[in-house]
Amino acid sequence: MRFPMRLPDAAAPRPGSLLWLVLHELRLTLRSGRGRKGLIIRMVLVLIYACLGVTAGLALRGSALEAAPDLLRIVTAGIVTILSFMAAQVVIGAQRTLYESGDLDLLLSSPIPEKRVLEAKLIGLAGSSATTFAFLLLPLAIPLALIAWPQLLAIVPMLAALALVGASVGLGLAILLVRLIGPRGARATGQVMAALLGAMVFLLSQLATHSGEMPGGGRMGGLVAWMRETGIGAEGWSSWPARAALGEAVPLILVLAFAAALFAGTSLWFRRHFLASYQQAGERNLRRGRVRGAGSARRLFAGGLMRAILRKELKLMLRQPELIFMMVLRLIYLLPVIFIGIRPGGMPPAFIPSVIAAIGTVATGQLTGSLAWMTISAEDAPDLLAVSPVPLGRLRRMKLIAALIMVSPVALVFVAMIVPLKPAAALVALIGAMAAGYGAGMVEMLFGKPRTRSAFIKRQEGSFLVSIGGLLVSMLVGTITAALAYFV
Amino acid sequence: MSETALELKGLHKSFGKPVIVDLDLSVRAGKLYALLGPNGAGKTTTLRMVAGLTAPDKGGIRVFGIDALAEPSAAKAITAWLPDDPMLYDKLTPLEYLAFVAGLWRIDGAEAAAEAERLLRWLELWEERDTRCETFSRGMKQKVALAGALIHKPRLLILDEPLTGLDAAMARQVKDMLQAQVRAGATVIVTTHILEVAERLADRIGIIHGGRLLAEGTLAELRERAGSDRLTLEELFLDLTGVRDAVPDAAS
Repeated sequence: MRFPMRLPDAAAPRPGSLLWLVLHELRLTLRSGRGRKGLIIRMVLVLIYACLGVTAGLALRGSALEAAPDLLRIVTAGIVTILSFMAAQVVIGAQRTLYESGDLDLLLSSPIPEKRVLEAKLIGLAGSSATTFAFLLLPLAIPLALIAWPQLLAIVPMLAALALVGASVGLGLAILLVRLIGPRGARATGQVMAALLGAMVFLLSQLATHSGEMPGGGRMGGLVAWMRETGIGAEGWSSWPARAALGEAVPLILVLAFAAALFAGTSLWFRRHFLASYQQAGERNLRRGRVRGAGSARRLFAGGLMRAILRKELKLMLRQPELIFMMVLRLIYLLPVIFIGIRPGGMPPAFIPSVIAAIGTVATGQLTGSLAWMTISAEDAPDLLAVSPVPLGRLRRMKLIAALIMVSPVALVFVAMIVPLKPAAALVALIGAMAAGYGAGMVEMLFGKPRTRSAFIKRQEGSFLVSIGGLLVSMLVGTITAALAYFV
Repeated sequence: MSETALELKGLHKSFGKPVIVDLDLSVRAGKLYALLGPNGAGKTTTLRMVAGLTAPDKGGIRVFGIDALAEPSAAKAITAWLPDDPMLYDKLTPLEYLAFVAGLWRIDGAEAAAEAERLLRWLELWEERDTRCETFSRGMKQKVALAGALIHKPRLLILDEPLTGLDAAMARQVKDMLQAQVRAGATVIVTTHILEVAERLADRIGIIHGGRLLAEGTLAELRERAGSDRLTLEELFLDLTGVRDAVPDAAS
């Protein structure tokens, strides 16, 4: 317990106290990064941000910060974005706490009152999301505030308020899901919800931009334009969070009071329901699965090696909700490119099949690359495969094909979009998508290094060079596919 | 003279420093062979080389006459490897796991399904056949892995510390299984720290230390070599490996 112990004796929190537990939570959060290398990268980034903040501060010294309507809208959009990311982060964090008990069993079996343990967990969840954004915002904002605009120091309490609201929303959703649809369904649903929540602002802005009415102008452009139309973010109560962030005293006090009240309410509710949800989540381990009939059991053994591998990889993927989260997120971030390709007046009709073919090809390549990483490099029982009589090279090729088969529904969606426009181009797109998938998978197969599946879940996928290699192959095949789709 | 199930000749392996040194070993078919040795003696490395998981630096491995280094697939087809840490997929059910293993060993589907049911019933896991392994205790996981090792009816069964973490009932079940396999004609090689198991079950015992085979034979032969027919296997083991001298007397 070195972290709390480093404080002078008089200031050191009493072991078992709320502060002591919160410090323990924060230490775990800070240590969950990518080790020494990650720490150095973070420190360098902080330094760069701080330099940018100092430069901006020096440039803006003497100027006034006015809460103009457009600035308020932009700040509001930023706040909603941060809040959605924080809530998503808390949903995932709460699910980890619920399902991968970690230290909760230890803490709850200790003589520390349950109430205190849970409060520390809740503050820990809020603190964890606040830490992420503090790292991103404060090195830039604090020098700017100290040199030019002191009112920007309000970002610090504002960030705390957002963390409290984000934690309340995220935790409420996570527990509500367990209560409503049971632990097993809640886990997968929660991951999809977190993906959608995290991408909410992005999706809304894309919808606003591509609705045909609003001008573009980057990710936030459509959203800000929509806010301008409706008056949200610059007028009345909806402008309070932005005004608070820009240092206006009354809105700041009100926002802080609201956040504190919401957090206190959630905390009370959380204490009452969390343990029940935790026990419910734990009980999933004691539940038996649906028992198969004899016929179904026999079918499980039919079909030989390829089907055995495909069945196993498919089941492992579907039963790992975090992977669903990653896949949904990747598909979500492809949506804007599709919007650009298909919206009316987006581009000349002759190019549309080629663009969709290119997007489909790159998407298939990227998804297959990721899945190939999981099926090939992140094998749970490598020794089992190594002692089997099937040569390892053959097994790995089969796993690559299994990954390609799993991604094929995504490729087929793109192909189906092209069929009514240009059937020949649809065939080219299908071949291109399969080629890109196989190519990206081969890069993984040839150069990928074995890692654990948890590395994927923590978004620490295979090596950077392998990822870049896979992307280049996908893009190359995508370009060729687009050209062929245009000329056929 | 029965067939030779496993033959190791001049096996050598080094991980920076030598772990296995010119190891010669022969195990006859249809016998239960216990490979004993203190921690770090080279037991697991030896068996991993036989299972095809680690390549030897030099030497030869033959499994029922098949050169395991030249024809690994043929040797693996008749071998099963069961480490102390079960090679399982937590997200699969026992039935799904066995279907996957049967696929790897290319067992006929109908035959594998029947064998899976027999094994799961025998291991008292049939009622749990559609429950994911992630929910199982260590002993239950070990049972699933055991079923996986047996589903392709191996001629050579290699078990590394199979009793680790098992309760008394489960340990008894595994011991019965080992004897049943031998009775059915299979060859079993087992490493264990529980010398009583080797003493009671093994037809022959090999004692390995520092990567070298110190002694090998039946219990009677080992006693004869030590010059006393009253020594227990534990005393023999401690004398041969020199561990007894290295361990301070607890009472002192």
